[in-house]
Amino acid sequence: MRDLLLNADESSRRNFMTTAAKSLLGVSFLPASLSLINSAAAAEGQPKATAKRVIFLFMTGGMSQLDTFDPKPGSEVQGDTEVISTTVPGIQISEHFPKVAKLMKGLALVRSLTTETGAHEQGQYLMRTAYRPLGSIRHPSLAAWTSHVLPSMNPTLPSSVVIGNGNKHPLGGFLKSQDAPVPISSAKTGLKNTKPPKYLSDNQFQRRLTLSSQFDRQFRRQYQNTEVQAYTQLYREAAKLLKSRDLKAFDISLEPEKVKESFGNNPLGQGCLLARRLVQQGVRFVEVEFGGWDHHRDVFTTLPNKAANLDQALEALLRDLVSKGLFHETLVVVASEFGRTPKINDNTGRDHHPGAFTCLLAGGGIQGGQVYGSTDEIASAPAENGASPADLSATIAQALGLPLEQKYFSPSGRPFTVANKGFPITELFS
Amino acid sequence: MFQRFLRPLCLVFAVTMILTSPTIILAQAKKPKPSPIPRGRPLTKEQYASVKRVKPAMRQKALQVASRIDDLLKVNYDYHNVKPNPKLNDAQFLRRVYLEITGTIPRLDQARQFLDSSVPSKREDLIDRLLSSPGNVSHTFNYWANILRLKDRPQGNQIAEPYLAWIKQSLAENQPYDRWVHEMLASQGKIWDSPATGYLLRDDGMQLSGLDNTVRVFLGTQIGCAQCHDHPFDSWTQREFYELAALTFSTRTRQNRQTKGYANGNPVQRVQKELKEKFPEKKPNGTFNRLLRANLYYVNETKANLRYPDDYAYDNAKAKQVVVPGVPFGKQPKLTAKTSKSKAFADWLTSRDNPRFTVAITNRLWKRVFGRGLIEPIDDIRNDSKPSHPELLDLLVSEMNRLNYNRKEFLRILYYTDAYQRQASTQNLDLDTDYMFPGPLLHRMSAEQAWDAILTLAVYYPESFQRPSVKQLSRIANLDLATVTAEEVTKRAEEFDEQVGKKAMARFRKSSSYKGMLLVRASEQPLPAPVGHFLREFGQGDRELISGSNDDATVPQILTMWNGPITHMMLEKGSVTYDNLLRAKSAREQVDVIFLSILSRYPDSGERAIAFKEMRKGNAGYGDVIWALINTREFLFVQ
Repeated sequence: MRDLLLNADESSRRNFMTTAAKSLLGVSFLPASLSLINSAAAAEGQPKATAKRVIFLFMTGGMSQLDTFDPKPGSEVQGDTEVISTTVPGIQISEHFPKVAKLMKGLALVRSLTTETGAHEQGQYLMRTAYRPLGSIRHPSLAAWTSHVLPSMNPTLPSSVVIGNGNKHPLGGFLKSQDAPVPISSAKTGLKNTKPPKYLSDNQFQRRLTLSSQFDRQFRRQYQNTEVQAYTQLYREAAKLLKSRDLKAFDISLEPEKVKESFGNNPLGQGCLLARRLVQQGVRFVEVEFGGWDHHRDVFTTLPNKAANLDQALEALLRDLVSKGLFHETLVVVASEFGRTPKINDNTGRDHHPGAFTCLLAGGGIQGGQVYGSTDEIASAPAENGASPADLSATIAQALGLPLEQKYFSPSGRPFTVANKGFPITELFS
Repeated sequence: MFQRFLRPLCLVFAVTMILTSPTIILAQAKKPKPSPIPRGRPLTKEQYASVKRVKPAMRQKALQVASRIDDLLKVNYDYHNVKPNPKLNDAQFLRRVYLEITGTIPRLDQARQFLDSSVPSKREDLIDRLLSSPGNVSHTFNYWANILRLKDRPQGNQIAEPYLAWIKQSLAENQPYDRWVHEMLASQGKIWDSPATGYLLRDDGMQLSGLDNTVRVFLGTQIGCAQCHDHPFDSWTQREFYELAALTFSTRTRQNRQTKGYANGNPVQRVQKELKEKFPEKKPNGTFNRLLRANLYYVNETKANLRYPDDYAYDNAKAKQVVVPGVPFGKQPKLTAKTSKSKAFADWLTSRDNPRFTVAITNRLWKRVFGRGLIEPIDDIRNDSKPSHPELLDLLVSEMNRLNYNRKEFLRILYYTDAYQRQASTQNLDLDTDYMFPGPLLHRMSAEQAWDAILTLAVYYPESFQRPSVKQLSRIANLDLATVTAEEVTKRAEEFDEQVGKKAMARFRKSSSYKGMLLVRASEQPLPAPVGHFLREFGQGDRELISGSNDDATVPQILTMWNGPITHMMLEKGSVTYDNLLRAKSAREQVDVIFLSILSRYPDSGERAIAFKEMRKGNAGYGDVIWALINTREFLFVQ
């Protein structure tokens, strides 16, 4: 089977994934060997980048595909969630996204994402790095790869930023700490502690830094491991950042009240606004994490609030990007670590379901108004064009112009690639 | 040449000038204001006595076992040609054991006392004393809080306080580990009477995920995959998962039509309706509703049967069929109609015959001390996992059994070893290469250690600030849902806000805050700390994932250390460090005070010269030296 896969072209491989997922189902499980496939498609050369920046909205907890972007009207698995039409004939989504429905012409949906990982931590890791978590190494997030590979668009700001709680985020992985995205815990407070206390002059501050480094010399000489060096490197990064004229990019309070309101007064809305400010100043990759989608219980009464936050924030973000002239070079992605069971459980909730889930893409060269892939009649497994998290990573990476075949070596000498040999979904681009 | 520092009066003025911002100095010039830093009170004898002490009589045996451990490690040093690290000097030892046993650095007096002592057994004495201290309870609580995902409000209306307090209490009492786990898995009832039920309530409404978490934490084994299909890399089958789940599935976490609380119908609706009818002017406030709903959480065993899923795809069982309970290894429990399934499950999981239970905790605690397990990853142990030191693991497992799962006595042995008392290793390790333990691994302080260490520099008795009494909370919050009246709930809600809820917390906050920051130890902070808090910036997780914390370096951490109010606090009058500096009698002693307070060691001659030079420079030097030391890697890492 493996040999067959090694020689398979892209489309037959996708069909294989689809069949594999179906045949093992409800088992929704793909053989681990899939991620090892080496593709012939690689030789085609690097296509041109279609995006300069990425805003990745990560709905953690496992966003229900049925109650968002892959509804199955008429099926008993649909439960209480109604369906609405969009501006694109034939594409229907859940009633909780009336604003998104109006923008459908600019949006693409991938309804056939599938993985075997039904645990949050592992699933989030896979979505962020395209690799399964291993005890022996930490892989860089796509945000970190972006910082590592692409030239900076603003040398005084970090190349990538993660907004949200950053729980167990792989950040820079084995790359150097200056490539790691800078985590911002709350969009509202932005980057805190950028101003020294009033009594501290710039000179005195510099003196303190020198002094600190003198006192620390012996310790740093004795303990030369990556964790210690990471702090030493970041001390330099932080000093540089404090001097940046663009520091105000981190401060959303500078936005007019009306704009802040339009994004929604919640962590996602404010996160999207901060993301827009940051990409505008040249940050390449911004992830906004928005948790709380783990609807094991009462999905039909608790999901609508979350969905309303997303509907509003996404609309505001896209309109704002358009009005600032950034839309065409900014790829916006909405994704989650897995989907939820078609079956409604005893607590009127849905459980984890890695077999099928949906993501949404817009801007950055994406051809809007299309749906790529589909699921079976209960949104349990892909019916056509199954795609893995690595494929999604590859799609984003390719849009940014990151090389997918180039080998990068970890400090321990092991080779890795951006997006772990995923196949970019080229059909999504215009 | 340091003459002017020797004049106490001059010094007071100088230090004030240097250490505080101009605004504070102005304020002080008008009238002396009390320090803005809360001081706390020394712990009472009773508070100390509530912590179970390690037994002096067991020291000899512990030393013997420690030396056997060293022997076993030595065999491997020789075989693998590994040179053990040099021994820790007293100052390094002092700092490490304080941080790792009590979660914070030693105070100036504690550091001096130890470093100046010439008692030959002073290291063992210190280990024993720290293991018997309230600081150990606080630190161990943080350790388990990260693993057990402890939160103040795991779900909207849950009140988890009694459970959190129970965990602290059982750690203070040093409850044997197997009994502790058993109690969490098998307790039934309401959290007020039976606080260990908080464990099952954490995964309220998610029986299958809950089982997955339990097996991962207490058996070091991952079975989650097998919920949907046979485990791809381990020997678990989906059928085994379901059989095991059939033991825990019938345990429910809420009142329902079959339980007492519903004797007079849906209690929430009944009481709310009654309130509307009898007191039309009163609106049910948040606390009213919250107390009612908090009483709906009730761990009880039902007759519910687990069935195989509709899409069960293997031949060894039928979809939708009722699952016959069973265990995948160890002794099959004998179930009759009268047996409690949750008790049978707890018996099996915590049994000495369960091959994974003792290995998992032994390996976990070894990692806690040395930074790396004998089997890695510690929560993904498989049938084919190979420990790096099989004989050592056997010894440790037999010790855990001999000690009847006494965690303190077990850890005491590990702290006694030469291997632990060696300098830290800095190898960047791949987890697939075996580590020979030439010493423990260097690591950054956890978020909680960093926070508590900074508190130690500023606050006199941070451990004295405690949350409002949980006994009182349980008494007020416990309602009999079948009979409670709207009037009673109204009264309780008022009492709750006043004595243990909002208003009490506000008083707690006021008495123990500095610039809006609650200066209590990490274990007494809101769980988890709010997003953006020092603890979260330094990697405390959101308590949604098992062991969700991290110790990565980030830019916001550095900005916090540079500019955050917390690091400037110890430069203020009334902070421990400031006061100690005032008391120092010479410039030389001042430098010692600063180094001992912050790094738990004396400066070497080069550092002393740099510090002198700085302090001579127009006086701003004191603050500069303190700030500079707190911003060293030496401060932030546990070496």
